[in-house]
Amino acid sequence: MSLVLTCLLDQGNLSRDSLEVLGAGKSIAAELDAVLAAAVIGAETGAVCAAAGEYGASKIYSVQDAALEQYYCEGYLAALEAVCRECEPAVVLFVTNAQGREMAPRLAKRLGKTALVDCLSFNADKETGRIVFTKPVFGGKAMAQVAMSDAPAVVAMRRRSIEPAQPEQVAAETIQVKPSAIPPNPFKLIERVEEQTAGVRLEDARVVVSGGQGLGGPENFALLEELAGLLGGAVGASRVAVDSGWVSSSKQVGQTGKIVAPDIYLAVGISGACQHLAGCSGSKVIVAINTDPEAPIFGAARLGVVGDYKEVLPPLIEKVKEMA
Amino acid sequence: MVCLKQILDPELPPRDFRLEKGEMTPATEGVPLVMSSFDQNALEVGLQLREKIAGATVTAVTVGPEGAEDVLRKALAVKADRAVRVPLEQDCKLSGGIVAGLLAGAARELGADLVICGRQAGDWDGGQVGLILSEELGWPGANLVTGIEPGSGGLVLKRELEEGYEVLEGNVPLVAVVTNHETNVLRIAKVKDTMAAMRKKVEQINVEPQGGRLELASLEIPVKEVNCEIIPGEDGGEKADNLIKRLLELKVM
Ligand SMILES: Cc1cc2nc3c(=O)[nH]c(=O)nc-3n(C[C@H](O)[C@H](O)[C@H](O)COP(=O)(O)OP(=O)(O)OC[C@H]3O[C@@H](n4cnc5c(N)ncnc54)[C@H](O)[C@@H]3O)c2cc1C
Repeated sequence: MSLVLTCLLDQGNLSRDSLEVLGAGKSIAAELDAVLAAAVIGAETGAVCAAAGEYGASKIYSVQDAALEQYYCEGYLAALEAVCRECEPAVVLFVTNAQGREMAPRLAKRLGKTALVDCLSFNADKETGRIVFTKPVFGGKAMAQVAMSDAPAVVAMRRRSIEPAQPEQVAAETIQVKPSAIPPNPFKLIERVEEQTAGVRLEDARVVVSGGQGLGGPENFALLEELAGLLGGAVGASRVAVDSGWVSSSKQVGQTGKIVAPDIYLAVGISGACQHLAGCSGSKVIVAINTDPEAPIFGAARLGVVGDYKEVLPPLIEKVKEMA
Repeated sequence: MVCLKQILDPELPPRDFRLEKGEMTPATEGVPLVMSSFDQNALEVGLQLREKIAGATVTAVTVGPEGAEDVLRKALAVKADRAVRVPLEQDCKLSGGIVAGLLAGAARELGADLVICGRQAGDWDGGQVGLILSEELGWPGANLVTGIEPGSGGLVLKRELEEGYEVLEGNVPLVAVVTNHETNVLRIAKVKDTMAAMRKKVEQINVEPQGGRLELASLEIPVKEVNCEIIPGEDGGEKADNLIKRLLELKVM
């Protein structure tokens, strides 16, 4: 029986990313009539192995080693490669987060394959074992259907494109895998600076107020901060605003930034490039404020305000204050 | 060695994006070709590092047809020391492993000890070449790097985290895969350097392409149907009022 291997790279608790990879794995396994398996790596894998079983993985491959206490690409790759050699999966699944982005291509190469990252959906055919993955290309201006027929298909799904797995206790078997060697981390960590965000995280926010090039400068982000604060939301940005140094890059929304899906996504002075929309198209209502009635953002927004944000935001903020 | 790809201008609006009739590739006629944006960031990282290490040189390498030499000229215009093209006629689309193999061949031939790539090309958005390259060469790879400095014990790399950043120290040889940051926006070439770059030599390194191709089953332009409702109003105040009214009606506020 063929096997779908989901790579869970958490320590301790299953993250939303891992639940999404399990969710994707579960539906592919169902379509292929395959076993849902999970790879769990760390210094102490017990908790994640147990959690994987509670979410439907019936075979759990654990690589436990003190060297693997924290994620580093070379070590985790060696662990995953050993798991793949042990279980010969038909499909290996990641989520396109920082780890999945770097692991999937390198693991695939080790297994003699080419990976596919940032996929949105899939279609599996039980008869042939062929799975067709849909991946946006050209910044989302086109959709490519890529057929993966020889095992293993190594794929990373775009975040928030797959429903997270629901709990489903199965009889799970845990197999300990010992890689022949775990290479040391070739890089020495000098410093790690975690950014502290006041208020809600961008990715969890129900309201996101994003600014782009049209804001004209960093000082004008204060208006967005104020509005986001009043609505209990978070501030995001376009890549141009990040590249201009107006906001930190952790605020970038888009294909190569954060993927958000709030109730309200307010795009201020953002033209609506596909690469940006890739990060917010799952929003319930996109609202655009833009001086240019021809801006592509009006082809993606549900509500549009044609005008200068400097004339629209201040009264909007006043009005929201009155309502509170 | 900095890897640069020539691509269709990714800023082309969707309404002007078309596919070649009957082929799984976009129409190129009338569309400007540019250096992929993350490769520009990679080039800037390389140039800044060279300024800090005596005797270091930057070699710009592209894989592609002769026309792709335009991106090498752009690199020469911002003072890359050398420019090399590895000839390849057909577009590899999503099969980045083939390109990585060619770049690895060039890196060996050039005796490079640091290879810098952009995180993903703005055409097929594959996001793999730099990573596969580190496997090909058997060198450590760091993803999402925004800057590199010389350090006491090797190179110091700054890289993005989900929230924040980290600073790593590593020794060459290594592969750095670069993402955008305010500190690595590509400098603008001087007019006289752009002129001079036209006359500079582009070298050629031939490498045998290897590796399998992914099977592209179809390529389609998605249909998006969103009817944008323009909020009426004489001035900012009225528009703000009407916007809030609609958000309340849609029950998202
Ligand atoms: C491979 C690749 C990946 C990318 N990834 C991302 C990504 O993750 N996220 C991202 O955002 N971009 C990304 N980009 C960049 C993207 O293609 C666009 O360049 C970028 O999104 C444009 O940013 P912008 O909308 O702020 O700027 P612009 O396109 O310059 O738009 C500015 C807008 O502001 C409007 N404006 C000006 N003044 C005012 C005013 N006073 N009031 C109201 N409106 C005003 C203008 O009409 C214009 O529409 C990527 C590109 C590539 C090639």
